[in-house]
Amino acid sequence: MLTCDIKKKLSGFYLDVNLTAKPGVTALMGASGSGKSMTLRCIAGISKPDSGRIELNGVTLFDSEKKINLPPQARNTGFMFQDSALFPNMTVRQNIMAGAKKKPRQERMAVAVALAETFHISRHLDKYPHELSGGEKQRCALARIMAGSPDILMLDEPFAALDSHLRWELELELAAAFQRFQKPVLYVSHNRDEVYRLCGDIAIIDHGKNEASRGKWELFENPATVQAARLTGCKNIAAAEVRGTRVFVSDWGIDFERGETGGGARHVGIRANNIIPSSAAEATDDVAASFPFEIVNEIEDTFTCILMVRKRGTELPPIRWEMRKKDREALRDMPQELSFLRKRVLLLS
Amino acid sequence: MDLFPLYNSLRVSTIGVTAAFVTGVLAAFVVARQPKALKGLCDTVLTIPMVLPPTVVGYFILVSLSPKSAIGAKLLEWFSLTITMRWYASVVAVAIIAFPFVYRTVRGAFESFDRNLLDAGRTLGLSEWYIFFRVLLPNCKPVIIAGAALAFARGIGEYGATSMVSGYIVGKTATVSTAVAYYWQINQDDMAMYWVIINLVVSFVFMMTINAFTQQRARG
Repeated sequence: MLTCDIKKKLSGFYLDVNLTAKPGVTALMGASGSGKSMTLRCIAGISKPDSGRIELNGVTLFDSEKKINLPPQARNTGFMFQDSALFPNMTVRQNIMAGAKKKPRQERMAVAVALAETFHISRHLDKYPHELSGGEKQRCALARIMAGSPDILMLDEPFAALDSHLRWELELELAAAFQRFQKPVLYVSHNRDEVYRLCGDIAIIDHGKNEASRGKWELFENPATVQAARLTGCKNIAAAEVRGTRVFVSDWGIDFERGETGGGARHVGIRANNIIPSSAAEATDDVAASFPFEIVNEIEDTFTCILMVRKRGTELPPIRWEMRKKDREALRDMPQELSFLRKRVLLLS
Repeated sequence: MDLFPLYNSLRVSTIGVTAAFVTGVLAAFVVARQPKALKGLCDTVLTIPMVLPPTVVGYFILVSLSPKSAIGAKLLEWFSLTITMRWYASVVAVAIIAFPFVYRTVRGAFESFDRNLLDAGRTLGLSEWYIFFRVLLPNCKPVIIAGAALAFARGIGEYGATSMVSGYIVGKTATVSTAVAYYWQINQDDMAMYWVIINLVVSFVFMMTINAFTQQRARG
């Protein structure tokens, strides 16, 4: 169990993170430059917060009031860097053995062989890092970290330096390693799909400040904040004004009756694939708003079609409507109106 | 033929450059970690021997180490040791003159070194000693060798400061470069030429060795 409550002044913003991580995988998801990497660095002890407290399994790693600041060597954290950070002058075997420095030599040799087996790099044991592919490097880095039996595993965008075709392989490897690890894992990324597949809880971080972590299903279902909505992939977000019981969205040219929730909403969002033709919505009895529309632009994506649409006869900024190609085919006769279902409209603070 | 100047040159430059190497690497390591303002100051002070005329360096050594100086007097009193006009004064001169060559090249390498590697070492629980000797130094090896080679090349040819602090005493402080100057001054051109050729051969062999070594490193 990790608790981390720290503040640190950075160029451009203030890092103010309050985070707990239980055994299992917690994602720290934010745009680049939001402070997520710095948070990991502070926990690992390779950067120093200005104030606050970090505790791991009851051991205080950092406490500005009690003047405790354990060196990284004494924290027993596993830190995986974007670029693997393998020692170029050592072979895979020596790198993994370096990770198990505290054990006697004989044991370290055995650990290196066993971990190489686990991470499928046995045949590369005597190669140098520059002879490995990006994915092999990251697996070696993970093996080296595991050799030290860390109390927490922290990964800083481990796929960032990899070609996309190598990512999937490493992702499967990571998922399996997380499963075996049974201790807290902090996973930093801005990629929602990766995070959704690998993590249980997600904490959103923006401009150095984080939201409490939430279960991923809940977060994707009801992101509640603009940042969370954006990071979970909601493409259409607009300012909203609540007047009495009605919500007015001037950017979309619509207004609707708000439900029992969403009193404090200042924005609304609708996912691109949750916009439906009115004909399909009528049956549901849950229509928030319907409006006549015009197509501004149509873009064919790999597996979907993206239609940029807006309320007919206006110059409003277009919103993104996305559907499977098959559904696009079926839509040859364009519907007159589009609808948002009430349960699909995200009310955001 | 008396080969003492060659022997003395090699002895002086080997010891002097070794001293410059150790202190240069350490200074580079310490300075590379300092905040910017302090770094600029340290850098200026430590690089000065490179831009000063060697005679000025020699003068400083004489002033600070001669038996009349505070340090020189203590050395004489405690260890019955006189530095100036001995071959070890040449060692001091070579060490000071060669120091900036090691310091500057190595500091550049340390500063551009991938900090993630050092941080990775720390999170893996490796000691700062281990990280310095097993991670930082080995991965900066080509640059460190280049710095040492530059320092040695400069050290073995050192004349200005050496002649000031050690003079030219046959069989005691004579070096290859002071021998060339000495024989030329007393009009023994053939002897001067003899030492010039020795100097050329030594430099040639030295540079060949360094090149072979660095090329081998590049291949490996």
